[in-house]
Amino acid sequence: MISIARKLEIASVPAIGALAVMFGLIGFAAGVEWESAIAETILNIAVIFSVSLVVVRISAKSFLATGSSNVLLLGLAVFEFGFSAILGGFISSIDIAEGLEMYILGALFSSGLHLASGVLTYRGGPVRRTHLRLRVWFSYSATAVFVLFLSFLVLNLPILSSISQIGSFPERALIATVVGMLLASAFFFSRVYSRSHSPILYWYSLALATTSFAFFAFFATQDNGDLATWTGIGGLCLASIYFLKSVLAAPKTPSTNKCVSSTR
Amino acid sequence: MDFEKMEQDGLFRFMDFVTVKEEGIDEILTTVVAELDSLKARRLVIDSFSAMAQAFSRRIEARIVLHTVLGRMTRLNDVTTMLIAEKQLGSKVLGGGMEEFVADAVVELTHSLERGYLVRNLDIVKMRGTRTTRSRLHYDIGDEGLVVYTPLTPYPFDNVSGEKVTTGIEGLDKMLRGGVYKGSTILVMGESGTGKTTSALQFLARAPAKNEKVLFTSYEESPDELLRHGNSFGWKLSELVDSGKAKLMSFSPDPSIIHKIFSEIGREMVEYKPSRLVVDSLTSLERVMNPDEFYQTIRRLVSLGKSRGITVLATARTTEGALPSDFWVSSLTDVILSLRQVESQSRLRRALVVFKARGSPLDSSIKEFEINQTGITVEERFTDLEQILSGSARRSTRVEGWSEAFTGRPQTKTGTDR
Repeated sequence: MISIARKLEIASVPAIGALAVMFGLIGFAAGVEWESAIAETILNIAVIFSVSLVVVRISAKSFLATGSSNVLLLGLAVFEFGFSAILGGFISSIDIAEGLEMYILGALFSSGLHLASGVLTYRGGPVRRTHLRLRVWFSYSATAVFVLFLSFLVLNLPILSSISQIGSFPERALIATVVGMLLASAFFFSRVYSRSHSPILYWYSLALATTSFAFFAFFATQDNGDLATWTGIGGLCLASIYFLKSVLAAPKTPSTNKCVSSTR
Repeated sequence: MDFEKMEQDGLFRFMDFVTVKEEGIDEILTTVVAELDSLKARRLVIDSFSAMAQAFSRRIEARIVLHTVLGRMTRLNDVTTMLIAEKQLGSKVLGGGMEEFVADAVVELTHSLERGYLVRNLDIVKMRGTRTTRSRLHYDIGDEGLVVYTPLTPYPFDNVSGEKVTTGIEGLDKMLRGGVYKGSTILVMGESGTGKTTSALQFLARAPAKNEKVLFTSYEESPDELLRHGNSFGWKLSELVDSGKAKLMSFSPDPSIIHKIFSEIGREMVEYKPSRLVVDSLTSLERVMNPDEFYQTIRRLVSLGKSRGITVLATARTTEGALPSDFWVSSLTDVILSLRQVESQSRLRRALVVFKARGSPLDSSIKEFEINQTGITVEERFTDLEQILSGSARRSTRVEGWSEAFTGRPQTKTGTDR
């Protein structure tokens, strides 16, 4: 029996997607805009960067304790995103386009590292011999759809003419790549979660999926400061909360390398 | 008692029959009866009957004399007779071996060596027509003569109070959801220097309301030291003592006087009528008593406290890593509080945990506490240390859980890159 709270948490991911479609692709409430580089910078620092530091710290400590590559990659991914978010935010206050590029590039590398970490974590489990055909079909189909999607963007076909009215093609392609890689990462971590039922992985998968949909909202943005943009920013803030919950879900256990003795 | 004056007043007569022979027994008995009549005495002591019995060549004759002559004579004249019968060291036979069957009551006085101290014991072996205590009593011989120490008497406690009273420590009251039930017993465990006596003094000094009296019994500190201790926190214990609201009693327990101590405590609990009693510490008492005797005595003390609505706080010095189950009188107590010291970052920190609170919800978190100018102050729970109770506290982190989630294996120390 899934609790209402859990249902709401999971529903938040498609909800962001739905809002992105509504405000970005469909154009609902078009014209409602509020562009504020300062607000975005504050949010970047107060939420995204702060939370990323928490995740980075625990990942670094974890790597130092275990030497696990996937934990290191994970820490790097979060650090990359948090750091580029804060830098992008500052640059945006000077030039929005350049700030956006910075933001997107950071997200791209971050999602790549997340994906690598997700794959390594996933491969760390037992080899599964079930549903091989289905998995092959799904993987190849997803790749084909993604390539087709990129080609539509290149050709600027009418079907997508209303999408991404801002930004250049490479920017749009990069955002799409970020969305895809983050989704794939979320998928891998969720698969590991289905094996371990670790609340840490639950929140982490949810955070990655939410981030992915937040970037989808950026992808669908018609104009800077429109509702789709704020949906994306809101999504990133929500994802930060999920990242934080992931860290807090880790049980506090005594460290084996930092002991203090008792005098009792 | 002034026996010479009593003799002059005709109230007492001493008769000395140094050498008793069988043929002279009849004469002696006749003389005794005559003296009883002339004095109209109500009490007769024969010291010792064993010496008299030895004059008979056959034991049956001594029994006849005891049963028929002495017994009937004295009963007819309403005289209570006390026979002193001797008992050889190591012997199980009392006197001539017949006195105990003839007498209406047999009180046996013995002594034993307990931890290097002579302890005088009194057993009421027989008391026809009277229900008496089954437990061994203890006595002493002093200026007042022979004094029997009354053991603590357990009373039925039908009127169990639902009223909660403060422990004198605000943070602890919160942990106990409003304090402890009136008449309950609190055990404060901890190593030396953890703040047991301070908590006990605070329990007394800060708690009493108007018209409440408190009693502190110490086995390690003198009343003056306790006053200095309490006054250093600004509790004005001296004022409480001067006004009669507090009484500080100090004892230096050893096996020969331990029963006297409990007898005095029992008397004070009944006569002084305190609302709170502190026993600091049980460990000092435990060391001078055998385990069964200690358990039974504490059980009676708890029972007496409950029956009279006296909230008792007892401290106990424990060893490293000790748990309540290690201190076996803990089952008798209603609330168990453990105070500990933890070393962290070159600093001694103090931890407090409530192990047990009978019939009451409680906050079971391990809280940090400080002893400052105003006494004990309970602070927040420990968030940076784990395994405090185990005796080997460690810094707590989320690293292990985190790495386990992403690697599928528990944290292990690998590599040399740290």
